[in-house]
Amino acid sequence: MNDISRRQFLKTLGLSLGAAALPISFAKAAVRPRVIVVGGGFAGATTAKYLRLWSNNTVDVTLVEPNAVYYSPILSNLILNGQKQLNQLGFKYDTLAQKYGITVTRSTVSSINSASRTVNLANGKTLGYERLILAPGIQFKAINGLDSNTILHAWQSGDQVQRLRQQIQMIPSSGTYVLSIPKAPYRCPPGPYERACVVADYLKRNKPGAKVVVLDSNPDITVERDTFNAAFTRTYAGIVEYVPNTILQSVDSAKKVAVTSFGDYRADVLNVIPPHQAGSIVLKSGLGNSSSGDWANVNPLSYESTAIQGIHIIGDSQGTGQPKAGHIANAEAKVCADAVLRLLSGSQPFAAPMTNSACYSPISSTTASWLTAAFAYDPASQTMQLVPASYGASSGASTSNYKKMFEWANSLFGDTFA
Amino acid sequence: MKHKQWSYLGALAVFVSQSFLLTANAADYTGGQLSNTNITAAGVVVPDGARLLASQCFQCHGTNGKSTTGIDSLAGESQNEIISEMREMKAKTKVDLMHYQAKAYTDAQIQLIAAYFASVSRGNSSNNNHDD
Ligand SMILES: Cc1cc2nc3c(=O)[nH]c(=O)nc-3n(C[C@H](O)[C@H](O)[C@H](O)COP(=O)(O)OP(=O)(O)OC[C@H]3O[C@@H](n4cnc5c(N)ncnc54)[C@H](O)[C@@H]3O)c2cc1C
Repeated sequence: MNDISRRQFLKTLGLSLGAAALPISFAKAAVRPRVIVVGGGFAGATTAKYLRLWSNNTVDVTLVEPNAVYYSPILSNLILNGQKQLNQLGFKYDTLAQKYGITVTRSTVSSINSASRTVNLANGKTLGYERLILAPGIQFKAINGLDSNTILHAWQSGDQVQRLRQQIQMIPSSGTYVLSIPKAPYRCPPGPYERACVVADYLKRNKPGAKVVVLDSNPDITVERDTFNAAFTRTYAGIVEYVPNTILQSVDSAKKVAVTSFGDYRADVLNVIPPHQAGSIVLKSGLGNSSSGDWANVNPLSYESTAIQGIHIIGDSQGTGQPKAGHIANAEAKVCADAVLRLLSGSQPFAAPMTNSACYSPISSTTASWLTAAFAYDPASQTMQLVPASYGASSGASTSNYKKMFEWANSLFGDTFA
Repeated sequence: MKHKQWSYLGALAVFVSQSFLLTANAADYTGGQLSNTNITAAGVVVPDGARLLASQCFQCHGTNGKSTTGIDSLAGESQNEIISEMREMKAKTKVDLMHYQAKAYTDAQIQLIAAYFASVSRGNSSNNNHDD
Protein backbone atom coordinates (compact mmCIF):
# COMPACT_ATOMS: atom_id res chain seq x y z
CA MET A 1 0.00 0.00 0.00
CA ASN A 2 1.40 3.42 -0.91
CA ASP A 3 1.91 6.26 1.51
CA ILE A 4 -1.12 8.23 0.53
CA SER A 5 -3.50 5.35 0.90
CA ARG A 6 -1.87 4.27 4.16
CA ARG A 7 -2.25 7.74 5.59
CA GLN A 8 -5.77 7.80 4.29
CA PHE A 9 -6.46 4.49 5.95
CA LEU A 10 -5.13 5.54 9.31
CA LYS A 11 -7.27 8.60 9.12
CA THR A 12 -10.21 6.49 8.11
CA LEU A 13 -9.80 4.61 11.33
CA GLY A 14 -9.29 7.80 13.29
CA LEU A 15 -5.81 6.70 14.22
CA SER A 16 -3.62 9.41 12.77
CA LEU A 17 -2.48 12.68 14.26
CA GLY A 18 -5.82 14.44 14.02
CA ALA A 19 -6.50 14.25 17.74
CA ALA A 20 -9.58 16.41 17.51
CA ALA A 21 -11.45 13.62 15.80
CA LEU A 22 -10.32 10.81 18.09
CA PRO A 23 -13.03 9.26 20.20
CA ILE A 24 -12.58 10.34 23.80
CA SER A 25 -11.78 6.86 25.08
CA PHE A 26 -9.03 6.64 22.49
CA ALA A 27 -7.36 9.89 23.30
CA LYS A 28 -7.01 8.83 26.92
CA ALA A 29 -6.25 5.17 26.37
CA ALA A 30 -3.63 3.38 24.34
CA VAL A 31 -2.73 4.83 20.96
CA ARG A 32 -3.29 1.48 19.30
CA PRO A 33 -6.70 0.12 20.19
CA ARG A 34 -6.70 -3.34 21.74
CA VAL A 35 -9.31 -5.92 20.81
CA ILE A 36 -9.49 -9.23 22.64
CA VAL A 37 -11.20 -12.17 20.95
CA VAL A 38 -12.23 -15.05 23.21
CA GLY A 39 -12.45 -18.44 21.49
CA GLY A 40 -10.77 -19.58 18.27
CA GLY A 41 -13.61 -21.38 16.50
CA PHE A 42 -15.28 -20.33 13.24
CA ALA A 43 -16.53 -17.10 14.79
CA GLY A 44 -13.48 -16.04 16.80
CA ALA A 45 -10.79 -16.99 14.30
CA THR A 46 -12.58 -15.16 11.48
CA THR A 47 -13.15 -11.97 13.44
CA ALA A 48 -9.52 -11.88 14.63
CA LYS A 49 -8.28 -12.28 11.05
CA TYR A 50 -10.53 -9.60 9.58
CA LEU A 51 -9.84 -7.11 12.38
CA ARG A 52 -6.18 -7.24 11.36
CA LEU A 53 -6.77 -7.38 7.61
CA TRP A 54 -9.31 -4.56 7.50
CA SER A 55 -7.45 -2.28 9.90
CA ASN A 56 -4.26 -2.78 7.92
CA ASN A 57 -2.76 -4.03 11.18
CA THR A 58 -3.41 -0.79 13.07
CA VAL A 59 -5.43 -2.57 15.76
CA ASP A 60 -3.82 -4.97 18.25
CA VAL A 61 -5.70 -8.25 18.35
CA THR A 62 -5.25 -10.94 20.99
CA LEU A 63 -6.98 -14.27 20.47
CA VAL A 64 -7.43 -16.25 23.69
CA GLU A 65 -8.03 -19.97 23.14
CA PRO A 66 -7.07 -22.88 25.43
CA ASN A 67 -6.49 -25.48 22.69
CA ALA A 68 -3.44 -25.61 20.44
CA VAL A 69 -5.50 -27.29 17.72
CA TYR A 70 -9.10 -26.56 16.79
CA TYR A 71 -11.00 -29.60 15.54
CA SER A 72 -13.79 -28.62 13.18
CA PRO A 73 -17.22 -29.99 13.99
CA ILE A 74 -17.99 -29.41 10.31
CA LEU A 75 -17.41 -32.72 8.46
CA SER A 76 -16.80 -34.45 11.81
CA ASN A 77 -19.69 -36.88 11.26
CA LEU A 78 -17.57 -38.37 8.46
CA ILE A 79 -15.23 -39.73 11.13
CA LEU A 80 -18.09 -41.93 12.32
CA ASN A 81 -18.40 -43.81 9.03
CA GLY A 82 -14.65 -43.86 8.43
CA GLN A 83 -14.51 -41.29 5.60
CA LYS A 84 -12.34 -38.78 7.52
CA GLN A 85 -9.65 -38.93 10.18
CA LEU A 86 -9.77 -36.48 13.07
CA ASN A 87 -6.33 -35.05 12.21
CA GLN A 88 -7.64 -34.03 8.77
CA LEU A 89 -10.06 -31.68 10.52
CA GLY A 90 -7.53 -30.04 12.84
CA PHE A 91 -6.43 -26.41 12.49
CA LYS A 92 -3.57 -24.70 14.29
CA TYR A 93 -3.41 -20.97 14.96
CA ASP A 94 0.08 -20.49 13.51
CA THR A 95 -1.15 -18.99 10.24
CA LEU A 96 -3.36 -16.49 12.02
CA ALA A 97 -0.45 -15.52 14.25
CA GLN A 98 2.23 -15.33 11.55
CA LYS A 99 0.36 -14.10 8.50
CA TYR A 100 -1.89 -11.60 10.25
CA GLY A 101 0.08 -10.72 13.38
CA ILE A 102 -2.59 -11.85 15.81
CA THR A 103 -1.29 -12.46 19.33
CA VAL A 104 -2.50 -15.97 20.14
CA THR A 105 -2.64 -16.65 23.88
CA ARG A 106 -3.21 -20.23 24.95
CA SER A 107 -5.47 -19.86 27.96
CA THR A 108 -9.09 -19.55 29.03
CA VAL A 109 -10.81 -16.29 29.95
CA SER A 110 -12.14 -16.95 33.44
CA SER A 111 -13.80 -13.60 34.17
CA ILE A 112 -14.52 -10.18 32.71
CA ASN A 113 -14.39 -6.80 34.45
CA SER A 114 -16.43 -4.57 32.16
CA ALA A 115 -15.91 -1.48 34.35
CA SER A 116 -12.13 -1.58 34.05
CA ARG A 117 -12.33 -3.17 30.59
CA THR A 118 -10.10 -6.09 31.54
CA VAL A 119 -10.31 -9.86 31.35
CA ASN A 120 -8.71 -12.35 33.71
CA LEU A 121 -7.13 -15.45 32.24
CA ALA A 122 -6.85 -18.88 33.85
CA ASN A 123 -3.06 -18.49 33.61
CA GLY A 124 -3.22 -15.59 36.07
CA LYS A 125 -2.72 -12.79 33.55
CA THR A 126 -4.97 -9.76 33.15
CA LEU A 127 -5.45 -8.15 29.74
CA GLY A 128 -7.00 -4.78 28.92
CA TYR A 129 -9.26 -4.03 25.97
CA GLU A 130 -11.07 -1.25 24.17
CA ARG A 131 -13.43 -3.84 22.61
CA LEU A 132 -14.01 -7.43 23.73
CA ILE A 133 -15.41 -10.08 21.39
CA LEU A 134 -16.74 -13.32 22.88
CA ALA A 135 -16.96 -16.37 20.62
CA PRO A 136 -16.98 -19.32 23.04
CA GLY A 137 -19.48 -21.54 21.19
CA ILE A 138 -21.83 -23.59 23.32
CA GLN A 139 -22.03 -25.49 26.57
CA PHE A 140 -24.43 -28.31 27.41
CA LYS A 141 -27.23 -28.25 29.96
CA ALA A 142 -27.23 -30.94 32.64
CA ILE A 143 -29.47 -33.99 32.30
CA ASN A 144 -30.25 -36.22 35.27
CA GLY A 145 -27.92 -39.19 35.39
CA LEU A 146 -26.03 -38.20 32.24
CA ASP A 147 -22.28 -38.85 32.42
CA SER A 148 -21.03 -37.14 29.25
CA ASN A 149 -17.72 -38.89 29.63
CA THR A 150 -19.20 -42.29 28.81
CA ILE A 151 -22.46 -41.33 27.12
CA LEU A 152 -20.85 -39.10 24.52
CA HIS A 153 -22.27 -36.08 22.73
CA ALA A 154 -19.45 -35.76 20.15
CA TRP A 155 -20.94 -32.39 19.27
CA GLN A 156 -17.81 -30.29 19.73
CA SER A 157 -15.61 -32.54 17.61
CA GLY A 158 -12.18 -33.64 18.92
CA ASP A 159 -11.62 -36.63 21.14
CA GLN A 160 -15.33 -37.32 21.70
CA VAL A 161 -15.91 -38.00 17.99
CA GLN A 162 -12.96 -40.36 17.90
CA ARG A 163 -14.33 -42.22 20.92
CA LEU A 164 -17.85 -42.36 19.49
CA ARG A 165 -16.36 -43.90 16.34
CA GLN A 166 -14.73 -46.58 18.49
CA GLN A 167 -17.97 -47.24 20.39
CA ILE A 168 -19.87 -47.64 17.11
CA GLN A 169 -17.23 -50.00 15.75
CA MET A 170 -17.85 -52.20 18.82
CA ILE A 171 -21.62 -52.47 18.27
CA PRO A 172 -22.64 -56.12 17.97
CA SER A 173 -24.52 -57.16 14.83
CA SER A 174 -28.19 -56.65 15.60
CA GLY A 175 -27.11 -54.06 18.17
CA THR A 176 -28.71 -50.64 18.60
CA TYR A 177 -27.34 -47.11 18.34
CA VAL A 178 -29.65 -44.55 19.98
CA LEU A 179 -29.31 -40.82 19.26
CA SER A 180 -31.08 -38.18 21.34
CA ILE A 181 -31.62 -34.81 19.61
CA PRO A 182 -32.26 -31.71 21.77
CA LYS A 183 -34.97 -29.14 21.18
CA ALA A 184 -34.02 -26.39 18.72
CA PRO A 185 -32.13 -24.12 18.78
CA TYR A 186 -29.07 -26.35 18.74
CA ARG A 187 -25.90 -26.05 16.65
CA CYS A 188 -26.17 -27.17 13.03
CA PRO A 189 -29.87 -27.82 12.40
CA PRO A 190 -29.35 -30.74 9.94
CA GLY A 191 -26.39 -32.13 11.93
CA PRO A 192 -28.15 -34.74 14.07
CA TYR A 193 -30.12 -36.19 11.11
CA GLU A 194 -26.90 -36.23 9.11
CA ARG A 195 -25.31 -38.17 11.96
CA ALA A 196 -28.13 -40.73 11.99
CA CYS A 197 -27.53 -41.22 8.24
CA VAL A 198 -23.77 -41.73 8.37
CA VAL A 199 -24.04 -44.10 11.33
CA ALA A 200 -26.71 -46.04 9.39
CA ASP A 201 -24.34 -46.03 6.41
CA TYR A 202 -21.60 -47.59 8.53
CA LEU A 203 -23.91 -50.16 10.13
CA LYS A 204 -25.49 -51.09 6.79
CA ARG A 205 -22.07 -51.87 5.35
CA ASN A 206 -20.47 -53.42 8.45
CA LYS A 207 -23.07 -54.63 10.96
CA PRO A 208 -26.01 -56.24 9.21
CA GLY A 209 -29.04 -56.29 11.50
CA ALA A 210 -27.89 -53.34 13.61
CA LYS A 211 -30.31 -50.45 14.07
CA VAL A 212 -30.37 -46.67 14.51
CA VAL A 213 -33.05 -45.18 16.76
CA VAL A 214 -33.47 -41.40 16.54
CA LEU A 215 -35.18 -39.86 19.57
CA ASP A 216 -36.05 -36.33 18.49
CA SER A 217 -37.23 -33.81 21.11
CA ASN A 218 -38.66 -31.82 18.21
CA PRO A 219 -42.10 -32.54 16.71
CA ASP A 220 -40.61 -33.32 13.28
CA ILE A 221 -37.34 -33.33 11.35
CA THR A 222 -36.38 -29.66 11.78
CA VAL A 223 -34.82 -29.03 8.32
CA GLU A 224 -34.46 -30.79 4.93
CA ARG A 225 -37.43 -32.95 5.82
CA ASP A 226 -37.80 -34.52 2.38
CA THR A 227 -34.14 -35.47 2.14
CA PHE A 228 -33.86 -36.98 5.60
CA ASN A 229 -37.26 -38.63 5.45
CA ALA A 230 -36.25 -40.31 2.18
CA ALA A 231 -32.96 -41.42 3.74
CA PHE A 232 -34.66 -42.84 6.84
CA THR A 233 -37.49 -44.60 5.02
CA ARG A 234 -35.80 -45.64 1.76
CA THR A 235 -31.98 -45.56 1.78
CA TYR A 236 -31.93 -46.91 5.33
CA ALA A 237 -35.32 -48.66 5.40
CA GLY A 238 -35.38 -51.22 8.18
CA ILE A 239 -32.30 -49.66 9.78
CA VAL A 240 -33.42 -46.22 10.99
CA GLU A 241 -36.37 -45.75 13.30
CA TYR A 242 -37.34 -42.08 13.70
CA VAL A 243 -39.32 -41.15 16.84
CA PRO A 244 -40.43 -37.47 17.06
CA ASN A 245 -41.61 -35.60 20.18
CA THR A 246 -39.40 -37.70 22.41
CA ILE A 247 -38.01 -35.64 25.23
CA LEU A 248 -35.10 -37.05 27.19
CA GLN A 249 -35.89 -36.98 30.91
CA SER A 250 -32.92 -38.78 32.39
CA VAL A 251 -30.18 -41.22 31.52
CA ASP A 252 -28.93 -44.38 33.18
CA SER A 253 -25.35 -43.94 32.04
CA ALA A 254 -24.09 -47.30 33.32
CA LYS A 255 -26.88 -49.31 31.69
CA LYS A 256 -27.04 -47.05 28.60
CA VAL A 257 -30.74 -46.38 28.95
CA ALA A 258 -32.46 -43.22 27.76
CA VAL A 259 -35.52 -42.45 29.88
CA THR A 260 -37.91 -40.43 27.71
CA SER A 261 -41.43 -39.08 27.58
CA PHE A 262 -42.16 -42.17 25.44
CA GLY A 263 -40.62 -44.77 27.72
CA ASP A 264 -37.17 -46.29 28.11
CA TYR A 265 -34.76 -46.99 25.26
CA ARG A 266 -31.88 -49.35 25.92
CA ALA A 267 -28.84 -48.98 23.64
CA ASP A 268 -25.56 -50.62 22.83
CA VAL A 269 -24.28 -47.15 22.03
CA LEU A 270 -26.19 -44.22 23.47
CA ASN A 271 -25.30 -40.82 21.95
CA VAL A 272 -26.94 -37.94 23.80
CA ILE A 273 -26.70 -34.42 22.40
CA PRO A 274 -27.92 -32.43 25.40
CA PRO A 275 -29.76 -29.11 25.05
CA HIS A 276 -27.37 -26.20 24.50
CA GLN A 277 -26.77 -22.75 25.91
CA ALA A 278 -24.18 -20.02 25.36
CA GLY A 279 -20.61 -20.64 26.45
CA SER A 280 -20.10 -20.32 30.21
CA ILE A 281 -18.10 -17.07 30.02
CA VAL A 282 -21.15 -15.42 28.41
CA LEU A 283 -23.62 -16.58 31.01
CA LYS A 284 -21.47 -16.00 34.08
CA SER A 285 -20.68 -12.47 32.89
CA GLY A 286 -24.34 -11.47 32.93
CA LEU A 287 -24.67 -11.44 29.15
CA GLY A 288 -27.28 -14.20 28.80
CA ASN A 289 -30.22 -11.84 28.47
CA SER A 290 -32.34 -13.66 25.85
CA SER A 291 -35.85 -14.51 27.04
CA SER A 292 -34.80 -18.09 27.81
CA GLY A 293 -31.68 -16.88 29.59
CA ASP A 294 -29.61 -19.20 27.41
CA TRP A 295 -28.20 -16.80 24.79
CA ALA A 296 -26.75 -13.30 24.53
CA ASN A 297 -28.93 -10.63 22.97
CA VAL A 298 -26.93 -8.36 20.71
CA ASN A 299 -27.43 -5.48 18.29
CA PRO A 300 -27.07 -7.29 14.94
CA LEU A 301 -25.40 -4.27 13.34
CA SER A 302 -22.35 -4.75 15.56
CA TYR A 303 -23.03 -7.84 17.69
CA GLU A 304 -22.53 -5.61 20.73
CA SER A 305 -24.29 -6.94 23.81
CA THR A 306 -27.54 -5.22 24.73
CA ALA A 307 -26.58 -5.84 28.38
CA ILE A 308 -23.01 -4.51 28.65
CA GLN A 309 -21.27 -1.91 26.45
CA GLY A 310 -18.00 -2.72 24.74
CA ILE A 311 -18.59 -6.49 24.68
CA HIS A 312 -19.63 -8.22 21.44
CA ILE A 313 -20.90 -11.81 21.13
CA ILE A 314 -20.73 -13.79 17.88
CA GLY A 315 -21.21 -17.37 16.73
CA ASP A 316 -23.27 -20.00 18.50
CA SER A 317 -23.53 -17.97 21.74
CA GLN A 318 -25.43 -15.01 20.27
CA GLY A 319 -29.19 -14.81 20.33
CA THR A 320 -30.20 -13.10 17.08
CA GLY A 321 -32.19 -16.13 15.93
CA GLN A 322 -29.82 -16.83 13.03
CA PRO A 323 -28.86 -20.51 12.84
CA LYS A 324 -26.09 -21.77 15.07
CA ALA A 325 -23.63 -22.84 12.42
CA GLY A 326 -20.01 -22.33 11.41
CA HIS A 327 -20.52 -20.78 7.97
CA ILE A 328 -22.80 -18.08 9.35
CA ALA A 329 -20.58 -17.69 12.43
CA ASN A 330 -17.90 -16.62 9.95
CA ALA A 331 -20.44 -14.24 8.36
CA GLU A 332 -21.35 -12.67 11.71
CA ALA A 333 -17.67 -12.38 12.55
CA LYS A 334 -17.10 -10.13 9.53
CA VAL A 335 -20.06 -7.91 10.37
CA CYS A 336 -18.70 -7.65 13.90
CA ALA A 337 -15.11 -6.92 12.81
CA ASP A 338 -16.24 -4.20 10.40
CA ALA A 339 -18.48 -2.64 13.05
CA VAL A 340 -15.80 -2.77 15.76
CA LEU A 341 -13.32 -0.96 13.48
CA ARG A 342 -15.90 1.71 12.71
CA LEU A 343 -16.82 2.09 16.39
CA LEU A 344 -13.15 2.39 17.33
CA SER A 345 -12.80 5.23 14.85
CA GLY A 346 -15.86 7.00 16.21
CA SER A 347 -18.25 6.20 13.37
CA GLN A 348 -21.31 4.01 13.17
CA PRO A 349 -21.67 0.39 11.99
CA PHE A 350 -22.83 -0.25 8.42
CA ALA A 351 -26.62 0.03 8.52
CA ALA A 352 -27.63 -2.81 6.20
CA PRO A 353 -25.59 -5.96 6.83
CA MET A 354 -26.30 -9.33 5.26
CA THR A 355 -25.23 -12.78 6.44
CA ASN A 356 -25.57 -16.22 4.93
CA SER A 357 -25.58 -19.85 5.95
CA ALA A 358 -24.68 -23.10 4.22
CA CYS A 359 -24.69 -26.65 5.53
CA TYR A 360 -23.64 -29.69 3.56
CA SER A 361 -24.77 -33.00 5.01
CA PRO A 362 -23.25 -36.35 4.13
CA ILE A 363 -26.10 -38.85 3.75
CA SER A 364 -23.84 -41.82 2.99
CA SER A 365 -20.17 -42.32 2.13
CA THR A 366 -20.82 -41.13 -1.43
CA THR A 367 -23.76 -38.72 -1.27
CA ALA A 368 -24.61 -35.42 0.38
CA SER A 369 -27.34 -32.79 0.54
CA TRP A 370 -27.23 -29.07 1.27
CA LEU A 371 -29.27 -26.33 2.91
CA THR A 372 -28.80 -22.60 2.50
CA ALA A 373 -30.27 -19.26 3.54
CA ALA A 374 -29.40 -15.59 3.70
CA PHE A 375 -30.38 -13.04 6.32
CA ALA A 376 -30.84 -9.29 5.99
CA TYR A 377 -31.03 -6.58 8.63
CA ASP A 378 -34.57 -5.32 9.04
CA PRO A 379 -34.52 -1.75 10.38
CA ALA A 380 -38.17 -1.86 11.50
CA SER A 381 -37.65 -4.74 13.93
CA GLN A 382 -33.91 -4.15 14.32
CA THR A 383 -33.35 -7.85 13.78
CA MET A 384 -31.76 -10.12 11.18
CA GLN A 385 -34.57 -11.62 9.10
CA LEU A 386 -34.50 -14.62 6.79
CA VAL A 387 -34.82 -13.60 3.13
CA PRO A 388 -37.51 -16.13 2.15
CA ALA A 389 -36.45 -16.50 -1.51
CA SER A 390 -32.93 -17.42 -0.40
CA TYR A 391 -34.01 -20.34 1.77
CA GLY A 392 -33.60 -23.62 -0.05
CA ALA A 393 -32.26 -27.14 -0.02
CA SER A 394 -30.95 -29.62 -2.55
CA SER A 395 -33.50 -31.98 -3.97
CA GLY A 396 -32.27 -35.04 -2.15
CA ALA A 397 -28.72 -36.33 -1.86
CA SER A 398 -26.28 -36.75 -4.73
CA THR A 399 -22.70 -37.73 -5.46
CA SER A 400 -21.96 -34.34 -7.04
CA ASN A 401 -23.06 -32.66 -3.80
CA TYR A 402 -20.65 -34.95 -1.97
CA LYS A 403 -17.75 -33.53 -4.01
CA LYS A 404 -19.01 -29.96 -3.63
CA MET A 405 -19.18 -30.50 0.13
CA PHE A 406 -15.39 -30.76 0.35
CA GLU A 407 -14.82 -27.73 -1.90
CA TRP A 408 -17.19 -25.72 0.26
CA ALA A 409 -15.66 -26.89 3.54
CA ASN A 410 -12.08 -26.31 2.39
CA SER A 411 -12.99 -22.80 1.26
CA LEU A 412 -14.64 -22.03 4.58
CA PHE A 413 -11.69 -23.47 6.51
CA GLY A 414 -9.34 -21.30 4.44
CA ASP A 415 -11.33 -18.10 4.91
CA THR A 416 -11.41 -18.78 8.65
CA PHE A 417 -8.00 -20.16 9.58
CA ALA A 418 -5.62 -19.22 6.75
CA MET B 1 -30.88 1.28 -18.87
CA LYS B 2 -29.34 -1.51 -16.85
CA HIS B 3 -26.15 -1.09 -18.78
CA LYS B 4 -26.07 2.56 -17.87
CA GLN B 5 -26.40 1.83 -14.16
CA TRP B 6 -23.40 -0.36 -13.80
CA SER B 7 -21.19 1.65 -16.05
CA TYR B 8 -22.05 4.69 -13.96
CA LEU B 9 -20.95 2.76 -10.90
CA GLY B 10 -17.78 1.70 -12.63
CA ALA B 11 -17.02 5.29 -13.41
CA LEU B 12 -17.67 6.20 -9.82
CA ALA B 13 -15.25 3.56 -8.56
CA VAL B 14 -12.55 4.85 -10.85
CA PHE B 15 -13.23 8.41 -9.78
CA VAL B 16 -13.12 7.40 -6.16
CA SER B 17 -9.93 5.47 -6.50
CA GLN B 18 -8.11 8.13 -8.44
CA SER B 19 -9.14 11.34 -6.87
CA PHE B 20 -10.71 10.83 -3.46
CA LEU B 21 -7.52 9.53 -1.99
CA LEU B 22 -5.64 12.60 -3.07
CA THR B 23 -8.16 15.33 -2.48
CA ALA B 24 -10.75 14.51 0.12
CA ASN B 25 -8.69 13.77 3.19
CA ALA B 26 -9.87 16.70 5.21
CA ALA B 27 -13.40 15.39 5.52
CA ASP B 28 -12.51 12.23 7.36
CA TYR B 29 -11.32 13.99 10.48
CA THR B 30 -14.87 14.88 11.24
CA GLY B 31 -16.04 11.31 11.00
CA GLY B 32 -17.82 12.28 7.82
CA GLN B 33 -18.69 10.17 4.84
CA LEU B 34 -15.15 9.11 4.13
CA SER B 35 -14.70 7.22 7.34
CA ASN B 36 -17.47 4.96 6.12
CA THR B 37 -15.76 3.95 2.92
CA ASN B 38 -13.59 0.89 2.69
CA ILE B 39 -10.23 0.28 1.13
CA THR B 40 -9.63 -2.94 -0.74
CA ALA B 41 -6.51 -5.06 -0.69
CA ALA B 42 -5.43 -3.24 -3.85
CA GLY B 43 -5.75 0.07 -2.03
CA VAL B 44 -8.87 1.18 -3.88
CA VAL B 45 -11.64 2.98 -2.05
CA VAL B 46 -15.07 1.43 -2.56
CA PRO B 47 -18.47 2.73 -1.45
CA ASP B 48 -19.74 2.30 2.08
CA GLY B 49 -20.65 -1.27 2.95
CA ALA B 50 -19.38 -2.76 -0.32
CA ARG B 51 -16.49 -4.57 1.29
CA LEU B 52 -18.63 -5.96 4.08
CA LEU B 53 -21.33 -7.14 1.67
CA ALA B 54 -18.72 -8.68 -0.64
CA SER B 55 -17.01 -10.39 2.28
CA GLN B 56 -20.11 -12.55 2.63
CA CYS B 57 -18.98 -14.27 -0.56
CA PHE B 58 -15.52 -15.06 0.86
CA GLN B 59 -16.69 -18.15 2.78
CA CYS B 60 -16.93 -20.00 -0.55
CA HIS B 61 -15.04 -17.80 -3.03
CA GLY B 62 -12.01 -17.21 -0.81
CA THR B 63 -10.68 -14.26 1.19
CA ASN B 64 -10.94 -11.14 -1.00
CA GLY B 65 -12.55 -13.33 -3.66
CA LYS B 66 -9.35 -15.29 -4.28
CA SER B 67 -10.39 -18.90 -4.27
CA THR B 68 -8.10 -21.60 -2.94
CA THR B 69 -10.38 -24.44 -4.10
CA GLY B 70 -12.26 -25.45 -7.23
CA ILE B 71 -14.87 -22.77 -6.55
CA ASP B 72 -14.55 -19.70 -8.83
CA SER B 73 -12.46 -16.70 -7.83
CA LEU B 74 -14.24 -13.35 -8.01
CA ALA B 75 -11.29 -11.01 -7.51
CA GLY B 76 -10.66 -8.87 -10.56
CA GLU B 77 -13.80 -10.00 -12.39
CA SER B 78 -15.42 -7.18 -14.27
CA GLN B 79 -18.34 -5.49 -12.60
CA ASN B 80 -20.42 -6.20 -15.65
CA GLU B 81 -19.77 -9.90 -15.50
CA ILE B 82 -20.59 -10.30 -11.83
CA ILE B 83 -23.74 -8.23 -12.14
CA SER B 84 -25.04 -10.15 -15.12
CA GLU B 85 -24.22 -13.53 -13.56
CA MET B 86 -25.99 -12.59 -10.35
CA ARG B 87 -29.01 -11.30 -12.28
CA GLU B 88 -29.11 -14.50 -14.29
CA MET B 89 -28.99 -16.66 -11.19
CA LYS B 90 -31.66 -14.56 -9.51
CA ALA B 91 -33.97 -15.04 -12.46
CA LYS B 92 -33.49 -18.77 -12.88
CA THR B 93 -35.70 -21.34 -11.23
CA LYS B 94 -32.74 -23.72 -11.24
CA VAL B 95 -31.96 -24.70 -7.72
CA ASP B 96 -28.26 -24.69 -7.06
CA LEU B 97 -27.09 -23.29 -3.74
CA MET B 98 -25.85 -20.10 -5.39
CA HIS B 99 -29.18 -19.53 -7.12
CA TYR B 100 -30.82 -19.27 -3.71
CA GLN B 101 -28.05 -16.99 -2.43
CA ALA B 102 -28.39 -14.69 -5.44
CA LYS B 103 -32.07 -14.23 -4.69
CA ALA B 104 -31.20 -12.65 -1.33
CA TYR B 105 -29.63 -9.55 -2.87
CA THR B 106 -31.18 -6.44 -4.35
CA ASP B 107 -29.83 -4.99 -7.55
CA ALA B 108 -28.26 -2.14 -5.60
CA GLN B 109 -26.45 -4.60 -3.32
CA ILE B 110 -25.26 -6.63 -6.29
CA GLN B 111 -23.78 -3.50 -7.83
CA LEU B 112 -21.88 -2.72 -4.64
CA ILE B 113 -20.57 -6.26 -4.37
CA ALA B 114 -19.54 -6.29 -8.03
CA ALA B 115 -17.82 -2.91 -7.62
CA TYR B 116 -15.80 -4.36 -4.77
CA PHE B 117 -14.62 -7.47 -6.60
CA ALA B 118 -13.81 -5.48 -9.72
CA SER B 119 -11.59 -3.25 -7.58
CA VAL B 120 -9.57 -6.09 -6.04
CA SER B 121 -6.37 -7.09 -7.80
CA ARG B 122 -6.19 -10.66 -9.01
CA GLY B 123 -2.84 -11.23 -7.26
CA ASN B 124 -2.67 -14.23 -5.02
CA SER B 125 -1.85 -12.53 -1.73
CA SER B 126 -4.83 -12.42 0.58
CA ASN B 127 -2.85 -10.97 3.45
CA ASN B 128 -1.43 -7.74 4.50
CA ASN B 129 -1.98 -5.49 1.53
CA HIS B 130 1.65 -5.42 0.48
CA ASP B 131 0.63 -6.05 -3.07
CA ASP B 132 1.26 -2.57 -4.34
C1 LIG C 1 -21.65 -32.79 13.25
C2 LIG C 1 -21.67 -31.31 12.97
C3 LIG C 1 -21.78 -30.87 11.65
C4 LIG C 1 -21.80 -29.50 11.38
N1 LIG C 1 -21.94 -29.09 10.07
C5 LIG C 1 -22.03 -27.77 9.80
C6 LIG C 1 -22.21 -27.32 8.47
O1 LIG C 1 -22.33 -28.09 7.51
N2 LIG C 1 -22.26 -25.97 8.24
C7 LIG C 1 -22.16 -25.08 9.25
O2 LIG C 1 -22.20 -23.88 8.98
N3 LIG C 1 -22.00 -25.47 10.55
C8 LIG C 1 -21.96 -26.80 10.85
N4 LIG C 1 -21.80 -27.20 12.16
C9 LIG C 1 -21.89 -26.21 13.26
C10 LIG C 1 -20.57 -25.51 13.57
O3 LIG C 1 -19.55 -26.43 13.82
C11 LIG C 1 -20.73 -24.61 14.79
O4 LIG C 1 -21.90 -23.84 14.65
C12 LIG C 1 -19.53 -23.69 14.90
O5 LIG C 1 -18.42 -24.46 15.29
C13 LIG C 1 -19.76 -22.53 15.88
O6 LIG C 1 -18.62 -21.73 15.90
P1 LIG C 1 -18.22 -20.90 17.21
O7 LIG C 1 -16.96 -20.21 16.86
O8 LIG C 1 -19.39 -20.11 17.67
O9 LIG C 1 -17.97 -22.00 18.34
P2 LIG C 1 -16.89 -23.17 18.42
O10 LIG C 1 -16.55 -23.67 17.09
O11 LIG C 1 -17.43 -24.14 19.41
O12 LIG C 1 -15.60 -22.48 19.02
C14 LIG C 1 -15.58 -21.97 20.32
C15 LIG C 1 -14.14 -21.90 20.81
O13 LIG C 1 -14.09 -21.10 21.99
C16 LIG C 1 -13.19 -21.66 22.91
N5 LIG C 1 -13.59 -21.17 24.24
C17 LIG C 1 -14.74 -21.41 24.92
N6 LIG C 1 -14.75 -20.75 26.08
C18 LIG C 1 -13.59 -20.06 26.17
C19 LIG C 1 -13.03 -19.20 27.16
N7 LIG C 1 -13.68 -18.89 28.28
N8 LIG C 1 -11.81 -18.67 26.92
C20 LIG C 1 -11.14 -18.96 25.76
N9 LIG C 1 -11.63 -19.77 24.81
C21 LIG C 1 -12.84 -20.32 25.01
C22 LIG C 1 -13.33 -23.15 22.69
O14 LIG C 1 -12.17 -23.85 23.12
C23 LIG C 1 -13.55 -23.24 21.17
O15 LIG C 1 -12.33 -23.43 20.48
C24 LIG C 1 -21.74 -28.57 12.45
C25 LIG C 1 -21.61 -29.02 13.77
C26 LIG C 1 -21.59 -30.37 14.03
C27 LIG C 1 -21.47 -30.84 15.46
